Amino acid sequence: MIELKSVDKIYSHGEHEEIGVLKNISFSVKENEFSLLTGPSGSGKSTILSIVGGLSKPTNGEVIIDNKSIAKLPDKFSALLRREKIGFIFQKFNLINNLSAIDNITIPLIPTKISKSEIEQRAEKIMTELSIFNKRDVLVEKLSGGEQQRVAIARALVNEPKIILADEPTANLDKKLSLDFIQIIKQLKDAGKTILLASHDPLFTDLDCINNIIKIHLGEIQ
Amino acid sequence: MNFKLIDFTLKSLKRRLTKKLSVIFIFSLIVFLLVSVFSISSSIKKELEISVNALPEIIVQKMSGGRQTVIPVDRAYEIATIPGVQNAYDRVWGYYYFVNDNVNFTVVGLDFDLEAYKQKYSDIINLYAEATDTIDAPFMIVGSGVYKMLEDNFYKNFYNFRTVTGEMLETKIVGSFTDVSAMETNDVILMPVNYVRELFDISENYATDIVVRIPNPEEIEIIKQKLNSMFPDSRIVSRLDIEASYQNIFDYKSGLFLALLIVAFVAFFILVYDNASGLSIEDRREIGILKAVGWQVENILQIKFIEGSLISLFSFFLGTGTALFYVYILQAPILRNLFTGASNLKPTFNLIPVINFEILILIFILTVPVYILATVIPSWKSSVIDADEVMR
Ligand SMILES: Nc1ncnc2c1ncn2[C@@H]1O[C@H](COP(=O)(O)OP(=O)(O)OP(=O)(O)O)[C@@H](O)[C@H]1O
Ligand SMILES: [Mg+2]
Repeated sequence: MIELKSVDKIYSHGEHEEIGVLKNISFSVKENEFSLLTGPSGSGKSTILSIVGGLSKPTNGEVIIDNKSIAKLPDKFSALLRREKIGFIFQKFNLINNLSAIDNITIPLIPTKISKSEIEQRAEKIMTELSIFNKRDVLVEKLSGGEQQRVAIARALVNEPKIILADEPTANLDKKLSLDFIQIIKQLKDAGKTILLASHDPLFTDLDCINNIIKIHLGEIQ
Repeated sequence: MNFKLIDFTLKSLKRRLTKKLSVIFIFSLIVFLLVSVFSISSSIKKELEISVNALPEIIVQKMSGGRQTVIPVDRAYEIATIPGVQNAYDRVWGYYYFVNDNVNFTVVGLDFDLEAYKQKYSDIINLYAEATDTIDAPFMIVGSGVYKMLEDNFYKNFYNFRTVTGEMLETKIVGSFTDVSAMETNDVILMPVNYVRELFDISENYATDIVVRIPNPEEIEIIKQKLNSMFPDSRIVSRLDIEASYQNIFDYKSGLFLALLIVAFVAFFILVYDNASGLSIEDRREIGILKAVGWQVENILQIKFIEGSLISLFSFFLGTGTALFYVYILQAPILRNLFTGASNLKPTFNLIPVINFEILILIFILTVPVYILATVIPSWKSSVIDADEVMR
């Protein structure tokens, strides 16, 4: 489902300053597998996720998502790929303030042809599953951290993606909420999703639902 | 265009309402200024046009020591015999200083030869004819401006003029009139000519000036020269001379307005520049989020386009609407003084509604699309770069 082949990422600022962030990264995540990316801060985990999600392009190498090479895909199509196949969960939740929970959750489907009422039905169903339906019309900045994260998860699920990408999803949560999140991610795996999650939270390392752990250090796989 | 995108834009506008209100305020204020200025100016231009068209082709004034003095009426008969002259008649009129309000009224004498005045005061001929038949005392028909001033000073039915010889002339007010060209007639008082003579002490054989009507405009200049040599003691003023002097005043006043316009445009471009010179961190983060959840650049541009259109169209119509209300309903307090001069030597007049669509379209083109572009372009710039900033 996800495959990286010899991916390099080099940021260049001007002619002489080049920062190599990723070097020769290769791994794959098969359908319905749950892979964990770990490594110290600054090692390149977020960079890998943004390359997998098509938010940035690798300098060298191949990225294959659902049998499609996306390394050189124009922006227009990588946006479509995200809309159809990928749900993103960010560390900082990245919700849009001053909009209600439901309005945040439905954002990914606004540019699609799906009708407003169907979008809202889908969103409400997911909110019910994540037990935040009672917060439907509350502005997101008024929600607690855990509720905000569940809104972010609901937004990642509303387009019914095959792939979930999560970047440090528990970094802003306390122990109890982190455990709740693990329950949710387990359910997602049971529902058949392919999951790539970046975290250095030790809570994840000995989960039995994790299929493989990819350790990154200074931009390379160890 | 996708209805859900419009819906989303409205929601996102609503939550940035306070920030956008200041933009809407400045934008509509600028449009308001532009539309007001152009409306007042086209209204006054129209006013002048009507006044000038009502002017006689030539006016003959007798001069004495470089100042105007009364002219013998028999010269009118002499002038009427000149080939090309249709008609020449004497006018008796003058300025009456109304102490209470510190203004001058123009008192015009009407005589039995009403035909001569028909062109100018046609609507009050009947009123006048009726009054001459029934009243055997001084009476007058006054312009609406005069009427109002007299009324404010509690002269409802009559007014006591003080003649130049110091006597009182009790004059009945029989009616008032308004004309399309208010600037011209607002301060006018019409009275039977014999009472005007009494008021200004002008004897039977003299008049204030002589009006010459010439049907063929080509002949005006030649006849003017002929009159000049016939009456070396006189000043011959043609319509073109008056038109030119009106135009001069108008052009001078327009200069003030031009300065105002430049200020308005500079303000607008500062507004646009501020909008175009980059987005806030918050705006950029939002664009990043939208891209990360699968929005294409064109979707982002669409909502920005809708947003820019809504704000600029709303501001444009708000500014235009309030400007037209301000100019034509409220009669442009403060601003009109720039044009007509703050002096109250003339009673106030009404601005005639003249809606100049060409100017409105021009103002529209110079503001609305410019603002939309200034909204869309920065978002486009920030949405084509990598969206991985949201990961940090
Ligand atoms: N635009 C950029 N230009 C230059 N260097 C960058 C840029 N973006 C990221 N980096 C660098 O790339 C490296 C990897 O960053 P990344 O965010 O992927 O690390 P991370 O493993 O997610 O760290 P953390 O655990 O703190 O989130 C860092 O050293 C970072 O400074
Ligand atoms: Mg990171």
